[in-house]
Amino acid sequence: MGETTFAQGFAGSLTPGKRPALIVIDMMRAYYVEGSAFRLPSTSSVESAGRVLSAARAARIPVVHTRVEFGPNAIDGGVFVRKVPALRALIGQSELGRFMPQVEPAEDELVIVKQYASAFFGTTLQSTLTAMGVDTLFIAGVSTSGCVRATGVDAVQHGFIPFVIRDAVGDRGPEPHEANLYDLQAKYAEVIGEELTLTYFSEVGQGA
Amino acid sequence: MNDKPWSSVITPDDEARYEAAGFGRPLGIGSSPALLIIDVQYRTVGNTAKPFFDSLHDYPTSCGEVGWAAVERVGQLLGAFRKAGRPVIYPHVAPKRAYDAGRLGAKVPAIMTIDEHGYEFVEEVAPREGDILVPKRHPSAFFGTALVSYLVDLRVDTLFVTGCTTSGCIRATVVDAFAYNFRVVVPHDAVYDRSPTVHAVNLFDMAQKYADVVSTADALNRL
Repeated sequence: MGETTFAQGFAGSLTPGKRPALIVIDMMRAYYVEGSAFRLPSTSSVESAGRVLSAARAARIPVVHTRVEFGPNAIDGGVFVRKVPALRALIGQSELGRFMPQVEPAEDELVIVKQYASAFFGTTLQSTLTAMGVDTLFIAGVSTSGCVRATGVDAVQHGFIPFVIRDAVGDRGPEPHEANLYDLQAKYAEVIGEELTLTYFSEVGQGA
Repeated sequence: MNDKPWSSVITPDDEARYEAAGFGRPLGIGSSPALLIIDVQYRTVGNTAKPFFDSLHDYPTSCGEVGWAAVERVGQLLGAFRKAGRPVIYPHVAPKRAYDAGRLGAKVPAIMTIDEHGYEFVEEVAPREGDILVPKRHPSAFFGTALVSYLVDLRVDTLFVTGCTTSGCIRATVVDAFAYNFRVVVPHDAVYDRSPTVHAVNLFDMAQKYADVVSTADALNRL
């Protein structure tokens, strides 16, 4: 990881609080396997998220996963499913709704099932983070312009300090990916790279 | 003999049912408390301490002299929180405009008739510079407000909830605070309602399900 400490390598205006957590958003097969309407051009985001996830576990940083699942006929998907009919692929316990092997949740990790973009919307995520005393949220997942951005915005609105891990989030094209990271950095979050995240996690793990 | 605030209406049989089912265990106080003073405005206590029905001439939404008794206890808690440098937060109803009526205005038309003075904070426990003011339009201090953001940002883990009414804004706020995983303490003599029975039953419900219900004296000792 080189010689740069987290404090030296970090130039943004937000600094992490006392208790971080990692959220891995919607890294389901739907985003990575051939034939899926949601498929991204690269698997680099999930490879990166896998490394970040291992580092979080090693540092005993709490981890929360989210995935999307709709009820029969996507009745709980409402207008969102009318806007994006391809979401019907995530009705019930579908193959596409399963997690990618790189980010398979451990048995003692929380999985939140959601229907909309933000991981906070219509879920108990806020309550869980409050109970754990978490003040800082590291965000990995897909897609940058959709659920990652919505979760980043809601995180700051709910009082958490959001860190979006640039290499561990992904989108269908570089333009929406970069444009949304730009907005997130400008308005709501700190956008940092995988390497700096791993350094920070290892410092937390050593009680730095 | 039984000094619980609901002992005049809740029977030993009622208590036994909840006890047998395993309700009402204590939550305790965390390391970072904040004080909520909800709706302690002249519209909820009247301009001076008067019996309930007389107080309605000041404001139809007044709870009367029970409110003034509670204000004294709120003042004791406020003094302790200020001394300890802990956050003090004032969820309150801002003056209503015609477009605010909505379903609540239809259900309780009296809320649409309050003059400006009615919305002023009761002087004895009024906010000062640095306190957090949270204007709200509905019973829960969390609904449609940034309250949870303030609490997360301040790293608060325990809420002392005071003010009124026990069955309305206090209970709605307590349920939401509990759902957000804050520890909740309700000092029973620092909250008030227009009906003693309704006040008592709601304290009982909150004590069984959502909060530690204690006297202000106990709360001050445990801080």
